[in-house]
Amino acid sequence: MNDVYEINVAKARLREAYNAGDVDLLLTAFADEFTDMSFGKPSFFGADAKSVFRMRMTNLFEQHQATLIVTIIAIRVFANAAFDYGWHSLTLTPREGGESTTTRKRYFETWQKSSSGEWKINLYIDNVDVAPMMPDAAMPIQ
Amino acid sequence: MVIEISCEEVWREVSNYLDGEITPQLRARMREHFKGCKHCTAVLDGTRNVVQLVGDAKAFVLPAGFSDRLYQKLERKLSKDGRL
Repeated sequence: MNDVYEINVAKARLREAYNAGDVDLLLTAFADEFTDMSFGKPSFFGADAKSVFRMRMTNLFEQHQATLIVTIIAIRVFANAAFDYGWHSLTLTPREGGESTTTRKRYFETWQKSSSGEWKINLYIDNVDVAPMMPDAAMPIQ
Repeated sequence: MVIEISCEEVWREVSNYLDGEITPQLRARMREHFKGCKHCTAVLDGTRNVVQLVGDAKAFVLPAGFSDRLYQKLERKLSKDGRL
């Protein structure tokens, strides 16, 4: 199987992990020492990133049922490194009742192929998506 | 588990998708992608419209003499540009 397909498989597994609330499965998508630059959170690097991410996701799944829709725009592979970018649309429904909320973020992540041939995310960054505008529309400068 | 597929891969296969010339697995991946991607759904709809228009002879009934006039215009243009 080619590398692009393998990364698509890894992203599908990540989506399934969110939808099943499975933190262990979710963490298998990430390298042991990765960089987490998630929107609205402090940046975490190396081993800290994974332990903080585990704690954050455990709390999230305890309190919410998550539904993630992944839209990958493109995947680029350069030997044992790759990047992809697109959108993550995450719907969270409180387990104790209440309104669901959906947040759509645009993401960029880099991948590294391990010696065993597995692709793992080693950098993740995202921010909140903004509705499309025409190029000549007045848009905020900051 | 339906495997993800990127927009770029969808664009490459959209015509084959409409012609039914892809594997069931790829069809399932693309169908799942269309559910969450308005951009690719627009590409799919646009491509489907073009295919229908081209395949519909009624959509392209040309006025009498259209072809002759078109050829004459092209010949004049090409002569003027020194390409004939």
